[in-house]
Amino acid sequence: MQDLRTVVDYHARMLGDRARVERFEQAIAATVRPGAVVADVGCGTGILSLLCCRAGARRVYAIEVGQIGRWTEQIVAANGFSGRVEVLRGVSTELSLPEKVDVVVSETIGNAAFDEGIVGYLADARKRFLAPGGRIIPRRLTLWAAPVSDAALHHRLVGFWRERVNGADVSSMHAIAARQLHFASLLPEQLCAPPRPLVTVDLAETEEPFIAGRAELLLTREGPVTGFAVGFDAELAEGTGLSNRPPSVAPSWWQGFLPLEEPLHGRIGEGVQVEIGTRDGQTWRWRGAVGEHPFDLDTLAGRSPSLEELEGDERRLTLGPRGRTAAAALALIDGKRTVGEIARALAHSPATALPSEAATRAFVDRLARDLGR
Amino acid sequence: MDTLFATALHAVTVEVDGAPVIVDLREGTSVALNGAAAAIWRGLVRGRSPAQVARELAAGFGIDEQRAEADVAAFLSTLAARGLVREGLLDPPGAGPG
Repeated sequence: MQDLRTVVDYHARMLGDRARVERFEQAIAATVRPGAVVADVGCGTGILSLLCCRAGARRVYAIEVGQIGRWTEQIVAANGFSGRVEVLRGVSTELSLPEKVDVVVSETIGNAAFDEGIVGYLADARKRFLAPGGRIIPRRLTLWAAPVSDAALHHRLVGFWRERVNGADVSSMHAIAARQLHFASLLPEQLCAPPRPLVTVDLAETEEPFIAGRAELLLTREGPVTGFAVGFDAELAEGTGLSNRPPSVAPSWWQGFLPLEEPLHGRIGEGVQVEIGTRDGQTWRWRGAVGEHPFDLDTLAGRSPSLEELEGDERRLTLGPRGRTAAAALALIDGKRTVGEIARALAHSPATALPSEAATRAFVDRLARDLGR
Repeated sequence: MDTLFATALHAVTVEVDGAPVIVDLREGTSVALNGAAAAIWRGLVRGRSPAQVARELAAGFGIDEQRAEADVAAFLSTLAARGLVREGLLDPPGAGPG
């Protein structure tokens, strides 16, 4: 769980991004009709819910699983919309709404377009929340990519791991670092060819969790190709777009950076081809060639998953020590015992795997926060 | 047997306990490989042609080349049916649509 300072700073950065708020306001004004019912998936502070009310929404279901949701109701109340906005705490895919909605709006666009899970969230919301003929904001999302030439950035994120740290060898992390979707704030001068669209996803239609596209381009700058920037062009509503192509007009977004394991030298006019695919924005593969030099990386290889983990639905689960402790704690919850009583009982139970009463108390506090009411 | 095959973009290989596992990112499933299947897949990942893979398989498993070629062809057919390989490597830069 993120600490509160991080959450507050994160939301201040998003609310302070004028392009982000204004473009969504334009899209909402063009889409939400007076009397409409709206679902705001991942509402954060509730800013888009408020804009929907201003556009005439009769009812907005504002859904937020993060900590910020604890304050969303206060923000809604301060703006006089308590009677129209219902804040629901939880993940949208695990909640039900009491009525169908005319519009689903979601600002879960990631630095790398899909990395906040927008495709999955909207596919579920479309199926379960949206009335026939309903509309979605954003409508389409395009993944773009551009080769990056920045040796310092690559060294900071990847090459660094080859160096000794006070004599210590940390190089086993190099292969892991090269197989991550990193985030960086990139400028046009760090790119060695302009961004090219790879694939466009129609968020009103798609069911496909694997999204992929490819592009071929010519280098416009000489130098080491150190990886690929990725980002989004969003069509929020007809005629209203938002993009994080460098230089980003919407500074609350950075760009995704998919590195090469080793920089590959590129000459002006040399051909680069790249194929990028992602499942739910969580697992990524990028491969292709810079001139004659091929590359092929993915985020899964760096994780060394166990076979059990890969079995997915077929996996047979057993409880580990913390799971057995949680099961014992859940059995003690009867609506009568206090958190302190449960923690003390658990601390003296043979079922607990935690080393001290204080650790047990903290564990029960977390359970109470996550699962209690 | 000389047509090159490339693994599909959604077919990611991870090594688990020293053996390759194909993770199908499109379907959300995985296939653990062992023995000859593992050797064939590793050859394809390295960009070998089916004929080269068959020769390596024959040498590595002590079988005759004809049988190795049949094994490679059968396994490729299974992989192709599941969409995990496609004919041809990536096009050379500059060829094809942008």
